[in-house]
Amino acid sequence: MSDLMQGLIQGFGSIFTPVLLLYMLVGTAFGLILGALPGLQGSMGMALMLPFTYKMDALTALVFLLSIYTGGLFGGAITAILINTPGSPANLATVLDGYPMTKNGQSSRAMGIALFCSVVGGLFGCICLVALMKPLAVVSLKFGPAEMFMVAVFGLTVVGSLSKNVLKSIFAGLFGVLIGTIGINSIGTMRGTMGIAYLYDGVPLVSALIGFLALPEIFDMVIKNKISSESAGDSSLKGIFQGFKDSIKHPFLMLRSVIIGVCVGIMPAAGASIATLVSYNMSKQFSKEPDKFGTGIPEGVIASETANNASEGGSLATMLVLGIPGSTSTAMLIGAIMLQGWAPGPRLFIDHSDVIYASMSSLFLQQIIMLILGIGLCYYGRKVISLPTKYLIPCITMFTIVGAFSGRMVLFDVGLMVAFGIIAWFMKRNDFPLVSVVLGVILGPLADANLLRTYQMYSDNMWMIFTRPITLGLALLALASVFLPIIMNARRKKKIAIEY
Amino acid sequence: MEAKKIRRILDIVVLPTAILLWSAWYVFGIKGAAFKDLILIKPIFFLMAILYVINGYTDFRAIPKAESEQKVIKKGLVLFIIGIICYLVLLSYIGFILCTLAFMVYSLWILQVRSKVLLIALPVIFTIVLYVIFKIGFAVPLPSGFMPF
Repeated sequence: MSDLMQGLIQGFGSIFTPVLLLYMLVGTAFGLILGALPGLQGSMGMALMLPFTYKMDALTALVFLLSIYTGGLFGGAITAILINTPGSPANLATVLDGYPMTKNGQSSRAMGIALFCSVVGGLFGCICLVALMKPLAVVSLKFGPAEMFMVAVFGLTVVGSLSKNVLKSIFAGLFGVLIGTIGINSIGTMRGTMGIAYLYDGVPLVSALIGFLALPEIFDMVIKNKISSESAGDSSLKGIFQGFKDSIKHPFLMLRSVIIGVCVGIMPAAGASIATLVSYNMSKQFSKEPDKFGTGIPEGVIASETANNASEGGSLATMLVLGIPGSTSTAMLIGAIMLQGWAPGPRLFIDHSDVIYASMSSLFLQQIIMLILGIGLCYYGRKVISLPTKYLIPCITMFTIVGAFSGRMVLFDVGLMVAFGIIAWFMKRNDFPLVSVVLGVILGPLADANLLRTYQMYSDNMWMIFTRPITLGLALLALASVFLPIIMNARRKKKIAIEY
Repeated sequence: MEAKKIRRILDIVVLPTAILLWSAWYVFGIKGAAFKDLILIKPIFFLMAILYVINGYTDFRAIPKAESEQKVIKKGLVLFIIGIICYLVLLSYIGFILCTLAFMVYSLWILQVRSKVLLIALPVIFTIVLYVIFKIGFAVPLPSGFMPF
């Protein structure tokens, strides 16, 4: 531990140079803007900048890419709050209360909460990364296919709590799972592609995210006048700082969300998207007023944004110690390491400890930079939604179209997005929660691939998977996630009946 | 039967039925499917079928009590969607710049924007912004159609 602390202190000394500070500023700003644009993510920014890092020294390359990664995590919350479109799967749960807050005229407050909690989550995630790096990474090695299948199931149990109509929510979630499994599976069978080559790799996530979440809102905006009733006279800075105060009033909620974020972040391929959902769901279950979740309350945004940024620490632990990328973003970081001619894995800390510790130190500073830049982004973001929708609609629509096109550079993805948008609008008319569909699309492939691998390993007796402690624990958590709200709800109703 | 009630019944029946039929086609239409290929999706389909029946029953029971107005599909929305579809069809032939300009003018018009300044300035400025960000900034190969850029 003393070597670690010494390494970090020396690392702090290394990063306070004008060049590195400039790269951190530019990288964080780039990530924030990318994350805030519908259809784009921080990982795309990392992919774009990756070739340029070849000419940089290792520390600069890592610091720059980590800055984009950090900025992108919060940037996605802006669109989640303002136009019901998560910038990335990590911001999926933020739409549940963030967008209702916008519709209630509290967009600045919601963005303030998201920003503060992102910074707090990121800082604590970094502390956990530093303090628990090796134990976290060792635990992540214990996650096999059975465990990952249960992680997906656990994530999917959140579906039932996303709407008052639980059965419609589950139906929508299952529909999403089927959509998510379209394509060629891991044993080469083609499913649901209708012979269309663009679907062989599955449904593009950006098309699903924008199609199911953003387009129905855009279609509704066509018949409304404004997005929210917030008057133009309200000070958005005041709202942002009100959001900071709201967050400070819930320290235990933030702490719980950090713990969930870090623990889930270490799971390969699960990471921020599941962390945010699990945190949101648990906050709802343990809340004294669970029925208020989804109507636009600060606790919903606090739970989701703290967890997704905290998960950064967990996933970086897995990447740095084991060389296993848990997401597209961490895969880019490994790419940058390999471009420098280094081998990712445990030897990084032996052969290049100064650079690795300095990179980890820079994470703390990046959170502060994100706070400062984020205030500006939130301020101007809020001004956008006060414009009449007749000017906003064509602009947002074009952003979504180009964003959907940018992923694979094919018009099919845009057409798919529009088709999803039309289906989603009709689903919304019939009270099917669309977040459930998107959740299914995200987690369906994870569940499908890992169930298949689990079957291949345990085909003689599938029940054997429950002899694995992590699988059993996750299965029990999934059952608790489904039945606990029902039991607590029944107890609450009984208590109310007795009181009256 | 009232027109509103008929519309409501159609809403309850058509969409979930379409989803279930697509799911059935998806699950049972896979060529050469082994047990492994259906290990997740087949139970999901059966669960969806059960939920379809339960949801349909509860929705039918709620029809007389439902007071909320169903969102009417307005002409402006239909025209807007048609505009998006035309945009996608023509994009490869006409190119990003002209198509985007035309789509933005069209959509501003159907959204009742009548100021000539805005009908020209907003599409031009926004198209330039998008072109600079995506084509030049992110090197996204936006369709150029018959134009050289």
